[in-house]
Amino acid sequence: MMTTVAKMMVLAVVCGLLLSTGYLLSGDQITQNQQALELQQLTAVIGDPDIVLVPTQIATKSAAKTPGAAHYRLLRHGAIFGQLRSVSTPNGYNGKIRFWLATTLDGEIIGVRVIEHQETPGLGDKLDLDVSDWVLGFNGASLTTHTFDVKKFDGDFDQFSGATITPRAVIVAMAEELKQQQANGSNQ
Amino acid sequence: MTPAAITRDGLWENNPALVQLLGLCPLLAVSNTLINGLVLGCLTIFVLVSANGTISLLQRWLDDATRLPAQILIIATFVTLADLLLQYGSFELHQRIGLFVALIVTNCVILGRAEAFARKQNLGLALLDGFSMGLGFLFAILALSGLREALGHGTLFAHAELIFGVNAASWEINLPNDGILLAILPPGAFLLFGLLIALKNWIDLKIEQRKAIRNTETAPG
Repeated sequence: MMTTVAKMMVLAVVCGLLLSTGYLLSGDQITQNQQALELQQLTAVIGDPDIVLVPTQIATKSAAKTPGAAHYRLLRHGAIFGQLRSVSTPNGYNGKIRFWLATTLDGEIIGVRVIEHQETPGLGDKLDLDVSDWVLGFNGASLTTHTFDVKKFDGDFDQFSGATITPRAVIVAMAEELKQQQANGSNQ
Repeated sequence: MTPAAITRDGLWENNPALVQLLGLCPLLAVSNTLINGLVLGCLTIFVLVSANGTISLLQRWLDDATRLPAQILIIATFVTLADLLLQYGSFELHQRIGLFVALIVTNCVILGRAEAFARKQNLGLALLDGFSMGLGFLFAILALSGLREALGHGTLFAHAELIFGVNAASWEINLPNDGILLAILPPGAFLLFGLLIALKNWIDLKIEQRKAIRNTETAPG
Protein backbone atom coordinates (compact mmCIF):
# COMPACT_ATOMS: atom_id res chain seq x y z
CA MET A 1 0.00 0.00 0.00
CA MET A 2 1.58 3.22 -1.13
CA THR A 3 1.42 6.27 1.03
CA THR A 4 -0.63 9.24 -0.04
CA VAL A 5 2.47 11.34 -0.69
CA ALA A 6 4.08 8.68 -2.84
CA LYS A 7 0.90 8.34 -4.89
CA MET A 8 0.69 12.04 -5.59
CA MET A 9 4.36 12.11 -6.52
CA VAL A 10 3.98 9.24 -8.95
CA LEU A 11 0.97 10.92 -10.51
CA ALA A 12 2.77 14.25 -10.78
CA VAL A 13 5.75 12.60 -12.46
CA VAL A 14 3.51 10.77 -14.93
CA CYS A 15 1.61 13.96 -15.76
CA GLY A 16 4.89 15.82 -16.14
CA LEU A 17 6.21 13.18 -18.52
CA LEU A 18 3.02 13.34 -20.53
CA LEU A 19 3.29 17.11 -20.89
CA SER A 20 6.99 16.98 -21.76
CA THR A 21 6.26 14.48 -24.48
CA GLY A 22 3.46 16.64 -25.81
CA TYR A 23 5.72 19.66 -25.79
CA LEU A 24 8.62 17.82 -27.42
CA LEU A 25 6.34 16.63 -30.19
CA SER A 26 4.72 19.99 -30.85
CA GLY A 27 7.23 22.62 -29.68
CA ASP A 28 9.12 23.08 -32.93
CA GLN A 29 5.98 23.32 -34.98
CA ILE A 30 4.50 25.82 -32.53
CA THR A 31 7.57 28.07 -32.71
CA GLN A 32 7.40 27.84 -36.48
CA ASN A 33 3.69 28.70 -36.46
CA GLN A 34 4.35 31.67 -34.22
CA GLN A 35 7.13 33.04 -36.40
CA ALA A 36 5.17 32.40 -39.57
CA LEU A 37 2.17 34.27 -38.19
CA GLU A 38 4.29 37.18 -37.02
CA LEU A 39 6.12 37.43 -40.34
CA GLN A 40 2.82 37.23 -42.19
CA GLN A 41 1.42 40.08 -40.11
CA LEU A 42 4.55 42.18 -40.56
CA THR A 43 4.70 41.60 -44.28
CA ALA A 44 1.09 42.75 -44.44
CA VAL A 45 2.05 45.98 -42.64
CA ILE A 46 4.65 46.78 -45.29
CA GLY A 47 2.66 45.50 -48.22
CA ASP A 48 5.65 45.16 -50.53
CA PRO A 49 6.94 41.65 -51.32
CA ASP A 50 10.35 43.04 -52.39
CA ILE A 51 11.16 44.17 -48.88
CA VAL A 52 13.01 41.75 -46.63
CA LEU A 53 12.71 41.96 -42.86
CA VAL A 54 15.91 41.55 -40.88
CA PRO A 55 15.58 41.37 -37.10
CA THR A 56 18.11 43.67 -35.45
CA GLN A 57 20.03 43.01 -32.28
CA ILE A 58 17.66 45.13 -30.23
CA ALA A 59 14.92 42.82 -31.38
CA THR A 60 16.53 39.61 -30.26
CA LYS A 61 17.60 41.02 -26.91
CA SER A 62 14.35 42.67 -25.92
CA ALA A 63 12.19 40.05 -27.56
CA ALA A 64 13.54 37.55 -25.09
CA LYS A 65 12.20 39.64 -22.23
CA THR A 66 9.00 41.06 -23.66
CA PRO A 67 7.71 39.11 -26.62
CA GLY A 68 6.71 41.36 -29.47
CA ALA A 69 8.81 44.38 -28.46
CA ALA A 70 10.87 44.07 -31.57
CA HIS A 71 12.71 46.02 -34.17
CA TYR A 72 13.38 45.10 -37.77
CA ARG A 73 15.47 46.68 -40.46
CA LEU A 74 13.84 46.71 -43.86
CA LEU A 75 16.01 45.80 -46.82
CA ARG A 76 15.04 46.31 -50.42
CA HIS A 77 17.34 44.69 -52.96
CA GLY A 78 20.03 44.54 -50.31
CA ALA A 79 19.96 48.22 -49.33
CA ILE A 80 18.49 49.55 -46.12
CA PHE A 81 15.11 50.96 -46.91
CA GLY A 82 13.59 51.72 -43.56
CA GLN A 83 12.64 50.21 -40.26
CA LEU A 84 9.78 48.47 -38.55
CA ARG A 85 9.30 48.58 -34.83
CA SER A 86 6.66 48.00 -32.25
CA VAL A 87 5.47 51.09 -30.42
CA SER A 88 3.27 51.02 -27.36
CA THR A 89 1.38 53.68 -25.49
CA PRO A 90 -0.36 53.50 -22.11
CA ASN A 91 -2.79 56.30 -23.05
CA GLY A 92 -5.58 54.29 -24.66
CA TYR A 93 -9.07 54.64 -23.24
CA ASN A 94 -8.69 51.21 -21.68
CA GLY A 95 -4.95 51.13 -21.20
CA LYS A 96 -2.16 49.90 -23.35
CA ILE A 97 -2.23 50.01 -27.15
CA ARG A 98 0.59 48.42 -29.10
CA PHE A 99 1.17 48.82 -32.82
CA TRP A 100 3.71 48.15 -35.53
CA LEU A 101 5.10 51.20 -37.26
CA ALA A 102 7.04 50.85 -40.49
CA THR A 103 8.87 53.92 -41.77
CA THR A 104 11.28 54.74 -44.56
CA LEU A 105 14.68 56.27 -43.87
CA ASP A 106 13.16 59.69 -44.53
CA GLY A 107 10.57 59.19 -41.83
CA GLU A 108 7.68 58.53 -44.15
CA ILE A 109 5.16 55.99 -42.84
CA ILE A 110 4.98 52.79 -44.85
CA GLY A 111 2.39 51.07 -42.75
CA VAL A 112 0.77 50.94 -39.32
CA ARG A 113 -0.96 47.99 -37.70
CA VAL A 114 -2.47 47.92 -34.23
CA ILE A 115 -1.73 44.53 -32.69
CA GLU A 116 -2.86 44.84 -29.11
CA HIS A 117 -5.58 46.94 -27.50
CA GLN A 118 -8.54 46.72 -25.15
CA GLU A 119 -10.56 49.57 -26.59
CA THR A 120 -14.35 49.48 -26.42
CA PRO A 121 -15.88 47.37 -29.19
CA GLY A 122 -17.95 49.54 -31.48
CA LEU A 123 -16.30 52.80 -30.41
CA GLY A 124 -12.57 52.57 -30.01
CA ASP A 125 -11.92 49.35 -31.83
CA LYS A 126 -11.84 51.05 -35.24
CA LEU A 127 -8.10 50.77 -34.69
CA ASP A 128 -8.44 47.20 -35.84
CA LEU A 129 -8.02 46.67 -39.55
CA ASP A 130 -10.73 44.00 -39.23
CA VAL A 131 -13.14 46.68 -38.07
CA SER A 132 -12.22 49.73 -40.14
CA ASP A 133 -9.41 50.84 -42.41
CA TRP A 134 -8.48 53.80 -40.23
CA VAL A 135 -4.86 52.65 -39.85
CA LEU A 136 -4.40 52.72 -43.62
CA GLY A 137 -4.90 56.49 -43.52
CA PHE A 138 -1.37 56.89 -42.22
CA ASN A 139 0.32 55.34 -45.22
CA GLY A 140 2.61 57.87 -46.84
CA ALA A 141 2.31 60.44 -44.05
CA SER A 142 5.34 62.03 -42.43
CA LEU A 143 6.06 64.77 -39.89
CA THR A 144 6.85 67.26 -42.65
CA THR A 145 3.67 66.72 -44.63
CA HIS A 146 1.08 66.06 -41.93
CA THR A 147 0.01 67.44 -38.58
CA PHE A 148 -0.16 64.52 -36.18
CA ASP A 149 -3.42 65.01 -34.38
CA VAL A 150 -7.12 64.30 -34.94
CA LYS A 151 -9.15 66.69 -37.07
CA LYS A 152 -10.98 67.98 -34.02
CA PHE A 153 -7.65 69.37 -32.79
CA ASP A 154 -6.62 70.72 -36.19
CA GLY A 155 -4.72 67.61 -37.17
CA ASP A 156 -4.86 65.67 -40.40
CA PHE A 157 -6.28 62.37 -39.21
CA ASP A 158 -9.80 61.13 -38.57
CA GLN A 159 -11.12 60.70 -35.08
CA PHE A 160 -13.80 58.10 -34.38
CA SER A 161 -17.29 59.32 -33.68
CA GLY A 162 -17.67 59.14 -29.93
CA ALA A 163 -14.05 58.28 -29.23
CA THR A 164 -11.24 60.80 -29.49
CA ILE A 165 -8.96 59.45 -26.78
CA THR A 166 -8.19 56.21 -28.57
CA PRO A 167 -7.07 57.60 -31.96
CA ARG A 168 -5.23 60.45 -30.25
CA ALA A 169 -3.25 58.03 -28.10
CA VAL A 170 -2.06 56.22 -31.20
CA ILE A 171 -1.36 59.38 -33.20
CA VAL A 172 0.58 61.06 -30.39
CA ALA A 173 2.68 57.94 -29.76
CA MET A 174 3.34 57.71 -33.47
CA ALA A 175 4.47 61.34 -33.68
CA GLU A 176 6.73 60.85 -30.65
CA GLU A 177 8.34 57.85 -32.28
CA LEU A 178 8.82 59.70 -35.58
CA LYS A 179 10.40 62.66 -33.79
CA GLN A 180 12.73 60.36 -31.92
CA GLN A 181 13.77 58.64 -35.11
CA GLN A 182 14.43 62.02 -36.69
CA ALA A 183 16.55 63.04 -33.70
CA ASN A 184 18.52 59.80 -33.74
CA GLY A 185 19.27 60.16 -37.41
CA SER A 186 17.50 57.67 -39.52
CA ASN A 187 20.22 55.02 -39.48
CA GLN A 188 18.74 53.05 -36.60
CA MET B 1 -27.39 4.31 -15.37
CA THR B 2 -27.98 3.00 -18.86
CA PRO B 3 -25.92 4.36 -21.76
CA ALA B 4 -29.07 5.87 -23.26
CA ALA B 5 -29.85 7.70 -20.03
CA ILE B 6 -26.29 9.02 -19.83
CA THR B 7 -26.47 10.38 -23.35
CA ARG B 8 -29.87 11.99 -22.79
CA ASP B 9 -28.63 13.47 -19.53
CA GLY B 10 -25.57 15.08 -21.10
CA LEU B 11 -27.27 16.39 -24.19
CA TRP B 12 -30.51 17.65 -22.78
CA GLU B 13 -31.92 16.84 -19.36
CA ASN B 14 -28.84 17.68 -17.37
CA ASN B 15 -27.06 19.76 -20.01
CA PRO B 16 -23.90 21.14 -18.38
CA ALA B 17 -24.39 24.66 -19.68
CA LEU B 18 -28.16 25.10 -19.99
CA VAL B 19 -29.24 23.22 -16.87
CA GLN B 20 -26.25 22.91 -14.56
CA LEU B 21 -25.02 26.38 -15.60
CA LEU B 22 -21.42 25.25 -15.34
CA GLY B 23 -18.48 26.46 -17.38
CA LEU B 24 -20.06 29.83 -18.02
CA CYS B 25 -16.77 31.73 -18.02
CA PRO B 26 -15.43 30.22 -21.23
CA LEU B 27 -18.96 29.77 -22.60
CA LEU B 28 -19.85 33.45 -22.39
CA ALA B 29 -16.41 34.81 -23.24
CA VAL B 30 -15.66 32.75 -26.33
CA SER B 31 -19.13 32.56 -27.84
CA ASN B 32 -18.66 35.68 -29.98
CA THR B 33 -18.20 33.80 -33.25
CA LEU B 34 -19.29 30.36 -34.35
CA ILE B 35 -15.75 29.20 -35.13
CA ASN B 36 -14.40 30.26 -31.74
CA GLY B 37 -17.28 28.46 -30.06
CA LEU B 38 -16.78 25.34 -32.15
CA VAL B 39 -13.10 25.10 -31.26
CA LEU B 40 -13.63 25.70 -27.57
CA GLY B 41 -16.45 23.17 -27.52
CA CYS B 42 -14.31 20.52 -29.21
CA LEU B 43 -11.38 21.12 -26.86
CA THR B 44 -13.75 20.81 -23.92
CA ILE B 45 -14.96 17.46 -25.24
CA PHE B 46 -11.36 16.31 -25.57
CA VAL B 47 -10.55 17.29 -21.99
CA LEU B 48 -13.78 15.86 -20.57
CA VAL B 49 -13.39 12.50 -22.28
CA SER B 50 -9.70 12.10 -21.45
CA ALA B 51 -10.07 13.25 -17.86
CA ASN B 52 -13.15 11.07 -17.25
CA GLY B 53 -11.40 8.06 -18.76
CA THR B 54 -8.21 8.48 -16.76
CA ILE B 55 -10.02 9.07 -13.51
CA SER B 56 -12.24 6.04 -14.06
CA LEU B 57 -9.15 3.88 -14.65
CA LEU B 58 -7.46 5.19 -11.51
CA GLN B 59 -10.51 4.91 -9.22
CA ARG B 60 -9.16 1.97 -7.21
CA TRP B 61 -5.77 3.55 -6.85
CA LEU B 62 -6.92 6.93 -5.54
CA ASP B 63 -8.02 7.30 -1.94
CA ASP B 64 -10.05 10.01 -0.25
CA ALA B 65 -7.02 12.13 0.57
CA THR B 66 -5.54 12.16 -2.92
CA ARG B 67 -8.71 12.13 -4.93
CA LEU B 68 -9.35 15.85 -5.44
CA PRO B 69 -5.77 17.02 -5.98
CA ALA B 70 -5.19 14.08 -8.29
CA GLN B 71 -8.30 14.93 -10.33
CA ILE B 72 -7.21 18.55 -10.67
CA LEU B 73 -3.73 17.47 -11.69
CA ILE B 74 -5.09 15.13 -14.35
CA ILE B 75 -7.51 17.73 -15.68
CA ALA B 76 -4.80 20.40 -15.78
CA THR B 77 -2.54 18.04 -17.70
CA PHE B 78 -5.14 17.41 -20.36
CA VAL B 79 -6.01 21.10 -20.60
CA THR B 80 -2.35 21.91 -21.21
CA LEU B 81 -2.22 19.21 -23.86
CA ALA B 82 -5.33 20.68 -25.49
CA ASP B 83 -3.66 24.08 -25.41
CA LEU B 84 -0.55 22.68 -27.13
CA LEU B 85 -2.78 20.96 -29.65
CA LEU B 86 -4.46 24.24 -30.57
CA GLN B 87 -1.13 26.04 -30.89
CA TYR B 88 0.06 23.19 -33.07
CA GLY B 89 -3.01 23.19 -35.28
CA SER B 90 -3.92 26.85 -35.57
CA PHE B 91 -1.68 29.36 -33.90
CA GLU B 92 -3.73 32.31 -35.05
CA LEU B 93 -6.84 30.90 -33.46
CA HIS B 94 -4.85 30.33 -30.30
CA GLN B 95 -4.03 34.05 -30.31
CA ARG B 96 -7.76 34.79 -30.29
CA ILE B 97 -9.10 32.35 -27.72
CA GLY B 98 -5.94 31.03 -26.05
CA LEU B 99 -6.66 32.64 -22.72
CA PHE B 100 -9.93 30.77 -22.44
CA VAL B 101 -8.45 27.45 -23.40
CA ALA B 102 -6.34 27.57 -20.26
CA LEU B 103 -9.51 28.44 -18.35
CA ILE B 104 -11.11 25.14 -19.36
CA VAL B 105 -9.33 23.82 -16.30
CA THR B 106 -11.64 25.90 -14.12
CA ASN B 107 -14.68 24.68 -16.01
CA CYS B 108 -16.62 23.04 -13.20
CA VAL B 109 -18.25 20.64 -15.63
CA ILE B 110 -15.02 18.71 -15.85
CA LEU B 111 -14.24 18.37 -12.16
CA GLY B 112 -17.94 17.89 -11.56
CA ARG B 113 -18.16 14.90 -13.91
CA ALA B 114 -14.92 13.44 -12.57
CA GLU B 115 -16.10 13.69 -8.98
CA ALA B 116 -19.77 12.88 -9.43
CA PHE B 117 -19.55 10.25 -12.10
CA ALA B 118 -16.27 9.00 -13.54
CA ARG B 119 -14.64 7.95 -10.28
CA LYS B 120 -17.45 5.52 -9.51
CA GLN B 121 -18.10 4.08 -12.97
CA ASN B 122 -16.42 1.72 -15.39
CA LEU B 123 -14.32 3.04 -18.25
CA GLY B 124 -16.93 2.72 -20.97
CA LEU B 125 -19.63 4.61 -19.10
CA ALA B 126 -17.16 7.26 -17.93
CA LEU B 127 -16.02 7.90 -21.50
CA LEU B 128 -19.61 8.02 -22.74
CA ASP B 129 -20.54 10.43 -19.97
CA GLY B 130 -17.60 12.69 -20.80
CA PHE B 131 -18.53 12.63 -24.45
CA SER B 132 -22.22 13.37 -23.96
CA MET B 133 -21.59 16.11 -21.43
CA GLY B 134 -18.99 17.60 -23.77
CA LEU B 135 -21.38 17.36 -26.68
CA GLY B 136 -24.07 19.05 -24.59
CA PHE B 137 -21.64 21.86 -23.85
CA LEU B 138 -20.69 22.07 -27.54
CA PHE B 139 -24.35 22.35 -28.56
CA ALA B 140 -24.97 25.10 -26.06
CA ILE B 141 -21.90 27.10 -27.09
CA LEU B 142 -22.70 26.61 -30.78
CA ALA B 143 -26.25 27.85 -30.29
CA LEU B 144 -25.07 30.87 -28.32
CA SER B 145 -22.15 31.74 -30.56
CA GLY B 146 -24.18 31.30 -33.74
CA LEU B 147 -26.81 33.61 -32.33
CA ARG B 148 -24.26 36.18 -31.20
CA GLU B 149 -22.31 36.14 -34.45
CA ALA B 150 -25.47 36.43 -36.54
CA LEU B 151 -26.88 39.27 -34.45
CA GLY B 152 -23.64 41.00 -33.54
CA HIS B 153 -21.51 40.75 -36.64
CA GLY B 154 -24.16 39.92 -39.23
CA THR B 155 -22.09 36.96 -40.40
CA LEU B 156 -21.83 33.21 -39.87
CA PHE B 157 -18.73 31.02 -40.14
CA ALA B 158 -16.41 34.02 -40.35
CA HIS B 159 -12.71 33.09 -40.15
CA ALA B 160 -13.42 29.42 -40.84
CA GLU B 161 -10.09 29.31 -42.68
CA LEU B 162 -8.32 29.40 -39.32
CA ILE B 163 -9.22 25.78 -38.72
CA PHE B 164 -10.46 24.37 -42.02
CA GLY B 165 -7.73 25.69 -44.32
CA VAL B 166 -7.64 28.41 -46.97
CA ASN B 167 -10.64 27.14 -48.94
CA ALA B 168 -12.91 27.65 -45.96
CA ALA B 169 -12.51 31.42 -46.24
CA SER B 170 -15.45 31.37 -48.64
CA TRP B 171 -17.74 29.72 -46.07
CA GLU B 172 -18.47 33.05 -44.50
CA ILE B 173 -22.14 33.90 -44.88
CA ASN B 174 -23.06 37.56 -44.82
CA LEU B 175 -26.49 38.13 -43.40
CA PRO B 176 -28.59 41.09 -44.50
CA ASN B 177 -28.64 42.63 -41.01
CA ASP B 178 -26.07 45.03 -39.62
CA GLY B 179 -24.37 44.02 -36.42
CA ILE B 180 -26.10 44.87 -33.15
CA LEU B 181 -23.25 45.84 -30.86
CA LEU B 182 -24.94 44.57 -27.70
CA ALA B 183 -24.86 40.99 -28.91
CA ILE B 184 -21.06 40.95 -28.99
CA LEU B 185 -20.55 42.69 -25.66
CA PRO B 186 -20.52 40.65 -22.44
CA PRO B 187 -23.99 41.83 -21.30
CA GLY B 188 -25.37 40.60 -24.61
CA ALA B 189 -23.86 37.21 -23.93
CA PHE B 190 -25.69 37.03 -20.60
CA LEU B 191 -28.98 38.21 -22.09
CA LEU B 192 -28.91 35.80 -25.01
CA PHE B 193 -27.81 32.95 -22.79
CA GLY B 194 -30.75 33.70 -20.51
CA LEU B 195 -33.05 33.57 -23.52
CA LEU B 196 -31.57 30.23 -24.56
CA ILE B 197 -32.21 28.79 -21.11
CA ALA B 198 -35.75 30.14 -21.25
CA LEU B 199 -36.23 28.51 -24.65
CA LYS B 200 -35.04 25.18 -23.31
CA ASN B 201 -37.37 25.41 -20.35
CA TRP B 202 -40.26 26.35 -22.62
CA ILE B 203 -39.60 23.30 -24.81
CA ASP B 204 -39.47 21.12 -21.68
CA LEU B 205 -42.76 22.59 -20.53
CA LYS B 206 -44.42 21.88 -23.89
CA ILE B 207 -43.17 18.30 -23.76
CA GLU B 208 -44.53 17.90 -20.25
CA GLN B 209 -47.92 19.31 -21.24
CA ARG B 210 -48.15 17.01 -24.23
CA LYS B 211 -47.32 14.05 -22.01
CA ALA B 212 -49.93 15.12 -19.47
CA ILE B 213 -52.57 15.42 -22.18
CA ARG B 214 -51.69 12.01 -23.55
CA ASN B 215 -51.91 10.52 -20.05
CA THR B 216 -55.36 11.93 -19.43
CA GLU B 217 -56.52 10.73 -22.83
CA THR B 218 -55.38 7.18 -22.20
CA ALA B 219 -56.49 7.11 -18.60
CA PRO B 220 -59.66 5.10 -18.12
CA GLY B 221 -62.87 6.89 -17.27
